[in-house]
Amino acid sequence: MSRQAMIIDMDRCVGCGACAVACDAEWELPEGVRRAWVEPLWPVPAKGQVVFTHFLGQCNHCSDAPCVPACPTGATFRDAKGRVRVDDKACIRCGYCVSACPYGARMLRPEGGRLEKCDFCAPLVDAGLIPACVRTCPSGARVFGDLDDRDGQVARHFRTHRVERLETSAVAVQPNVYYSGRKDVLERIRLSHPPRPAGLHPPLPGRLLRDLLKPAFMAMLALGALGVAATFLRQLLRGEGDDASGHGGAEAGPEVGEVHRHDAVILWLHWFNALAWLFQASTGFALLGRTAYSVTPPFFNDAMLSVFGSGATMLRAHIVVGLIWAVVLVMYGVFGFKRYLVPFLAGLRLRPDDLRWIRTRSGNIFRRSEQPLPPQDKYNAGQKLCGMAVSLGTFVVASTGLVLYFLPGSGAIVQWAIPLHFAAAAGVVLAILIHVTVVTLLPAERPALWSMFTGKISSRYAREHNARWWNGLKDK
Amino acid sequence: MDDKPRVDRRTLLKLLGMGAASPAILPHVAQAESGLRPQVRHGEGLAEEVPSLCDMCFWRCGILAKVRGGRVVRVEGNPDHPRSRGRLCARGIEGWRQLEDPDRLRTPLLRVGKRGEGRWKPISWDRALDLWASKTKEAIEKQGPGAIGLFSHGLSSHFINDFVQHLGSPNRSVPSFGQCRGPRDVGFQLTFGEGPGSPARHDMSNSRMIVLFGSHIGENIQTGQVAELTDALSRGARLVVVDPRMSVAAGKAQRWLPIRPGTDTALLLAWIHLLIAEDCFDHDYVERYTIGLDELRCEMAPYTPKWAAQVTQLPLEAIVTEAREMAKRRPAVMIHCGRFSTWYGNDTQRSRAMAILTALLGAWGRPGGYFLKSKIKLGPGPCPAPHGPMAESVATGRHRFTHFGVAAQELIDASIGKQAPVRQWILWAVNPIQSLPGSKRTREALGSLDFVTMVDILPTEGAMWADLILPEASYLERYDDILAVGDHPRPFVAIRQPVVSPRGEARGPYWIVQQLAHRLGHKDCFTHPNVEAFLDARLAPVGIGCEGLARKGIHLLEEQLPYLLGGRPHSFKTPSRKIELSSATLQRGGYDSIPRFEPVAQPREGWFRLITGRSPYHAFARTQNNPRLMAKDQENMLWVNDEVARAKGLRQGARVFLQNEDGVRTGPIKLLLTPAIRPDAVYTVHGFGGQSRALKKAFGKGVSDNILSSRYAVDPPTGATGFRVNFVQLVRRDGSEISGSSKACQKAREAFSDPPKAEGSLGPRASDRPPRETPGGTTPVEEPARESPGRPSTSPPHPRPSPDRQAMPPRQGAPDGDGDTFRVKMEDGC
Repeated sequence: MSRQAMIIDMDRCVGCGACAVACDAEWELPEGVRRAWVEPLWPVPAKGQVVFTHFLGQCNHCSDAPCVPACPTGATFRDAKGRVRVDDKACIRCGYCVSACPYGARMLRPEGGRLEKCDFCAPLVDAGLIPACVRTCPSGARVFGDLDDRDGQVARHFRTHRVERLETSAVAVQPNVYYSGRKDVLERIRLSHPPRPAGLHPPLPGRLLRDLLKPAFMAMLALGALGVAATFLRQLLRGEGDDASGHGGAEAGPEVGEVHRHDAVILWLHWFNALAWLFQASTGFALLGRTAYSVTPPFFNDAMLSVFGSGATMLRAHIVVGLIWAVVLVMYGVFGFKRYLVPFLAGLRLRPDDLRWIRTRSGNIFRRSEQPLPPQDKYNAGQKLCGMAVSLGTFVVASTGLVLYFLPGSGAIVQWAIPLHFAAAAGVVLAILIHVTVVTLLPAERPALWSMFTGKISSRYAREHNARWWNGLKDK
Repeated sequence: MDDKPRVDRRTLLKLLGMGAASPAILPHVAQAESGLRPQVRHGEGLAEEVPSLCDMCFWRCGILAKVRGGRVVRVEGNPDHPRSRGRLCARGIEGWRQLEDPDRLRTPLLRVGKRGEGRWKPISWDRALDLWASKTKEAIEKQGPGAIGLFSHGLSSHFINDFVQHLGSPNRSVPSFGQCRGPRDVGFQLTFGEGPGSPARHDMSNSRMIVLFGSHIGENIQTGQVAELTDALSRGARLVVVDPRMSVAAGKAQRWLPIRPGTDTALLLAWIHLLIAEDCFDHDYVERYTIGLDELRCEMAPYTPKWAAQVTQLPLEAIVTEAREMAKRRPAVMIHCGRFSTWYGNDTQRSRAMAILTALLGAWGRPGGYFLKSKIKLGPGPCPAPHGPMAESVATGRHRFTHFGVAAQELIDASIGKQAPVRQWILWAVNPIQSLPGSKRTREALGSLDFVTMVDILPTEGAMWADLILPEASYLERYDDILAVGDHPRPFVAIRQPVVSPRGEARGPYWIVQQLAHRLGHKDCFTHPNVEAFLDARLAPVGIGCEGLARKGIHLLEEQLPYLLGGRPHSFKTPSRKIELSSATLQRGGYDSIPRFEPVAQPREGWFRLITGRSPYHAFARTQNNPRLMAKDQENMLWVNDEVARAKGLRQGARVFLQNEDGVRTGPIKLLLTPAIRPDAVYTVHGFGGQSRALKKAFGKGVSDNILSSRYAVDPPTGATGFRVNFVQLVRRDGSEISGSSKACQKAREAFSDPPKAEGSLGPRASDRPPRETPGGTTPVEEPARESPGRPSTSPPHPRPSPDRQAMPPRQGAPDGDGDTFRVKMEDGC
């Protein structure tokens, strides 16, 4: 691996700004957008001696670049030549990296345009040319090359000049842009343009995501895992039949066949939803994989990345599936408004019985007691809660997803959409995990699982578990 | 070394211990070898690449224009150009945006409103040229060809200059002489027999010491010059910057000498004094190549460093030390002659002092000093010699050393009033309102002329006063005359060619002047059907055709060894064939043969000298309508000494107005308060404060220093106009002074004394000639400088015509004097 680096020789630099103008021209940047810039440091009284010099700013291609983990999609990365670059196709224009740069070297083009930063003219250099700024510099103040090449220009300059990095103890990010020159000149630059410690972090929504939501999700995931393990253990110890007979056998009635519970649309929708969530959750979490917000283990992230080839493809797939999913859900809501949506939402209404049911049911599970359960609707309280969480989460995830896709670069809206997207997804994922655990591990719930394939459920089960619904059916 | 005269320059420099003058970074370019327009990478796709020459400043860097679909998409440097070596400054990179400037002149325009009102109607080229020709004919018939006055600038004006000369009018003026480098060139020419060249033949990358007088290289940017300076610095050259303000260059210097404005000559004379008094000049060189040392010895005796320290307000120690440093490092000492040299009206003599100092250090024709000029022979120009005698010049004869045509203010004076000898003006790429001092008188002249034709690209301030405006093709749309550069160790010819077709109806200069000439019946001029054929003929002696040169952009000629090597004999082009430390030519013209210190008026309490400089993003006043350059540098600031500001209660970044002694008021201008400028001067960047409403981006941005230059001081030998004689006050919007004084303020304005009468001369070979009387009344002039065309105390206003007139520079030649000229080289003949 090589390490491309640049030295700006302030003994040579005259601050003419040709480098920055060449950069603007080479990359056809619109007015007001910059990758590199030159600011005069006027000889005004400051600390130390009065000097007249310039500040030359650009991406410092830090070895420990804070922008890389701040990027929620992995679009910002360090390439094999040590350059910090942005994969435009994986970039969602959220601007987290803009806030997370201690040097202010990143900028979004207006109106959702792409993120601009110095990439050491990677396309030119990879084609055997030299960066535009280096080529045009009239005073030869920019030295560019491979830091690891001992005979290269950069290494030679290192041997003959005093070089410094624009670093402080608070911001120790190991930049690969070096400044050489007189001590008082470098001192002036350092005083006027210290790296911002704030630039080590993404903006508030990003920090919220990194420091609050992510740990909270991880903790709940751990708790959930414990719960699953406990349930599983209990099942192992008690055996399946116990529960099945003990639970339902108290008032065994005659078998009266099966009743219709779900129609095909619901079945299809349920499983479509399930698959969509599976895909979106795994791609979504894998996108976060190489960032500060990662919640999944590296082997998973790597596996996902190798499946999709690149973060950009993964993001594209995430977006495409998300859009299809959103369209299906909207069609369901529009065309099945009366038939499906309203009854479904009505069915989620919690009754006083439901609360008692939850208390009793969890008591039964955890305390191994066998209190009789209050009568339930078509969906029991647990299912209702799960349904509510999933519905709300779906709404939030879909709308924030649409915001992220359709309003790129819109500042705070996009920045806040990211933790919301995450929180909603995380909530749904937790709910789904509980839901899946319950229906797979608790034998008592298993008929409900089968009913999601057949659409039917045994009358006995319905009578026992969904008494209120059963009674309603009987009345009809 | 003498028996091997063809030593390669690099080897020689190595032998001399100078190290190779190789660029620090040689950029490589992907460029195909064949085809007129190679395909190169640009962005996602390919573009055609066309070599040409930049026109944003006099350096004329080589460019490679990338063109896609008939539009320029990017301009890069041409690495083959020996001067720019692939580098471009901000202006060079973004200059192409002028092509698409919405304010550009697109068709010929005829004035319909009153002159100066700015109302025109578009007309056809045919009608425009017919009108121009008929007006010209009318004027010539009535008053002779002298009635045609021409102001011109740049490579594109070679054709019109040649033709106006062919017509027989000597009344031509170039601001690049009288408002820029005239005195500098004349001072060197009188000393060495040739000027320093343009760009000057500074061998700076080999210098071991560089002394800059007001040159702010880096802010005033020419790519190759910056490279040479920084190369020299990185090799350990000592840099001394003499400037009332701490420039970027001063910020890199071992010594910044914040000199009292107007006293540069005192410092130079003291240095000459020291070199002679301490006997550390280059004896061998001086003996071999110069005359006039004895006279110099006498004349320099009074200019002691102690006296100079008081006059210049520089530390005595610094003056003495730097003279010794120079002596230690000679001959590789660059006394940089600068370029813009029209300061105080005593400029030729300051330039002479620089030249003499250079000669004493043995630096002319030596590595690290000035190298010698190489000759390039080109084919004939477009017009034959004038058929009849030249018309009478409007030159007053006061200025015997006006190199080129007549002094600008003489031409202006001769154009005011209905009886004036000059009745028509042609303004070729010159904006007289912004570039000539005393714009009030310029306006007066423009108001009283019969006909004003303007050829330009943008509707400048000057265009407002034109009757007929002709849209010239911009530098990316036209062929110009061949650029032949002999002022470089590697002489070369280069071509400016169209990289895209002209926007609107803009046309190239050859065609425009050809049309005029043929309409006036001068069929013996511009005989080649088109400019390509003409350029082919021009290039014939070089051995390359127009098409061949167009493919490469640059054609390198044989590398030269332009030094006086091993003390080889050399015949200088002066009357004595030697370097003239004492100039008999000057004396015969009625001027001092050896420079003397002449004090200039110093500002009173509360007044400041206005000094101006350059921004690296702007070319004079020509780029303020360029959106990208303007975005980088939008307005100029006023540098004011911070102690002065404190006394006046001014805060950093506040805005004030400026008012000069003629009551001209302008502003507001943003303040930059700094200890890095003397308390008796204020500084701002030239070119801002656009007054033409037709230039939408430039209009009203920043402040124009030019309108504050309502006065000027004329340099007697050349007639060049010194711009730095106006004083300004810091005022409020209503014109009331922002008062407040401090000790620093008063100290900077302290009076200084005459140089003490010399006891004798310096050194052993003192002649017994008593030193000349030093100028009287050197106490600071309490009143601001007056507009005075001459200095009666130092030079007779009307020196009698001298018999050895031919010893003077000829009044013919190309406007810029650089490259080859059509018939008479500017620097020949002395």
